[in-house]
Amino acid sequence: MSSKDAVNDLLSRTKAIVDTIVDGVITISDHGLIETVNPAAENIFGYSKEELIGQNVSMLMPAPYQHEHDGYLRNYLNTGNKKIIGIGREVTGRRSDGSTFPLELAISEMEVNGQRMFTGIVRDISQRKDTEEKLRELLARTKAILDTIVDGVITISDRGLIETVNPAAEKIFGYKLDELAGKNVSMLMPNPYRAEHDQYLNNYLSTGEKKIIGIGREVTGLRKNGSTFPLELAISEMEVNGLRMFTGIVRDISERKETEDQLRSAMRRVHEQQIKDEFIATVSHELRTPLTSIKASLELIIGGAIDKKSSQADMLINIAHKNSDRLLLLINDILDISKIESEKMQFNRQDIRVKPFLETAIFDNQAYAKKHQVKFVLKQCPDSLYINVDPDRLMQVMSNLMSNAAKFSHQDSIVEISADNINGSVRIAVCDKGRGIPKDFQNRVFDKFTQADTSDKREINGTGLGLHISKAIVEQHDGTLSFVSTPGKGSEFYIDLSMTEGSAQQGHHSE
Amino acid sequence: MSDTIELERLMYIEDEPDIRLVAEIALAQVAGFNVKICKDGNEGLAFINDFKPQLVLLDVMMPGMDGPQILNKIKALDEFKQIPIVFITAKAQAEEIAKLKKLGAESVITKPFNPMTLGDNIRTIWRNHHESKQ
Repeated sequence: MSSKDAVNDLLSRTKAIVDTIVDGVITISDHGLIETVNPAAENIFGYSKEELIGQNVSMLMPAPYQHEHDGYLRNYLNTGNKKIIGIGREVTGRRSDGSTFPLELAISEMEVNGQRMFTGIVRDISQRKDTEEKLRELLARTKAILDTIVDGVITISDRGLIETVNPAAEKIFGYKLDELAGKNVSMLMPNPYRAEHDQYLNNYLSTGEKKIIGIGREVTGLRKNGSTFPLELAISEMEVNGLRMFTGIVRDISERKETEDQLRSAMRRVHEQQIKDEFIATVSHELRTPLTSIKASLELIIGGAIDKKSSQADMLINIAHKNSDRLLLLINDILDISKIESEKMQFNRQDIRVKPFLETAIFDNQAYAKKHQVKFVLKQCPDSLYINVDPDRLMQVMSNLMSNAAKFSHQDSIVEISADNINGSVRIAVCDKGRGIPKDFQNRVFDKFTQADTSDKREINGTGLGLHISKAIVEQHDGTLSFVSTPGKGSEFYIDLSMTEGSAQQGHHSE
Repeated sequence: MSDTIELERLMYIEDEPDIRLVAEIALAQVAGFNVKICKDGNEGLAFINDFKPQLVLLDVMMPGMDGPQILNKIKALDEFKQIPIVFITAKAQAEEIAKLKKLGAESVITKPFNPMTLGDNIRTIWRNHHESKQ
């Protein structure tokens, strides 16, 4: 290739580059007149090459730059003071339709055939500016949101150090941003959470095992003034410029918790009142029933409805007498329940030996055995068993269990009483071979005013309160009252109590 | 003066044996009714067709069928659907009484009742029942 051809080739290549690049390229003379423009420049300004060549380049600038340009060029040529040349900056361009737009301008100076010339490379940055503006707006909005939301927002690094907090977080915890920035976020937690936090974070970073992140839960916060409060915490993980960060959104739920507590306690009060009302209604019913028999019997006699000396009068007096006993029993049981529920039942506990206590129980409750034609038998009881109880109260429980066993046993059957050491506890058992407790009633056995068959109250002369009271008495001794029962085969009731060492003194029931 | 039919036959269903005894004296001997006393709903329903009571007295809390259930059974019988039914109950709270009346009871007598005036009370209820029908 000849040198001429090489020059032509270089020119062609250079032209091809200039014609195809996206930046506009404009050359001007030292008088500011446009000498060349590339297609991109035509496109950017909306003029054709023909409309531009020979025109002052200031036509591509809006006022006031348009008028200042020639003066600026002259000043540079005279003094060498550069404002843009060789530097590049953002300026405003003017299109053929009069609209203006931001452009990035880089000017270089050159000399061609001894003539000074300037090349301007222009880039329309309208879109970039637009994007930047939108980003700025978005940032301002995000900041406004963060500054005004009631939830606290805290960002921390993967080392647990606080990076940002919004005003709500400052308010919630009582700190200012400069008191928090760079500090470990665990300062906002009371112990033991504070001590556990770093370990938890490290554990998460090494194993990925989440406890709160991405889940959210209720935790306890610590204010600057040392007070603690319940807060709802939601943590999310993000990556910013390749760095792992965590954002915590915290909501002070003290007020909500307080309202919930108040609501719960109001509901509990309502429920307690309902139970009380139901109890009073039931007590009223239970008292009125024997009272009806007593009052009606006496009124029939007093009113002269029957001959006072007749057998009918005897029967009515007997009814009144029997129901007076029932009423008394009921009143005593109700008083016991009242004492238990108001925690006013007194217990005079002492160490007693179990065997003589059970022998006394069998002796004292013979009336029940006789009435229901059963036999109480002490089956087994080691001599060495001692318990620490109120003997009168425990005897009340024994009477209840033994009378129940007698009532529900078949005639001529045996009710076995026994005691043994079961894994260091004393178990007293009352076992009958009677009718047993129906399956569907077994979970209500210890409820107040319950009997498997309500007619039992009448026929078997009970108040429906005995087992409820017995259970409460045993529990007041830190023991348990339980049972197993097979309908048709009988029931076994167990009193389990702590065993006292054999060195203890005997109680009065063992004398 | 209305021409109300005289109340003669009444049935009382009550599970409490002692109350059955005093009620029988009060209703039969003192008040002069022909009374059928039954210990539960099954017995009452078994006798109702033969005895043909003009009014039924019902206890409320009873094992098996309770008073309201017996009331429904009686009201379901064609011959007795119009019969006045009176509850005799130890449930004395006003809301309980209102609830029983809403079930269709003619009246509610609370326990303890006065056996010397029980019959008069029932006759008054009987008269009111007939007057309201006329």
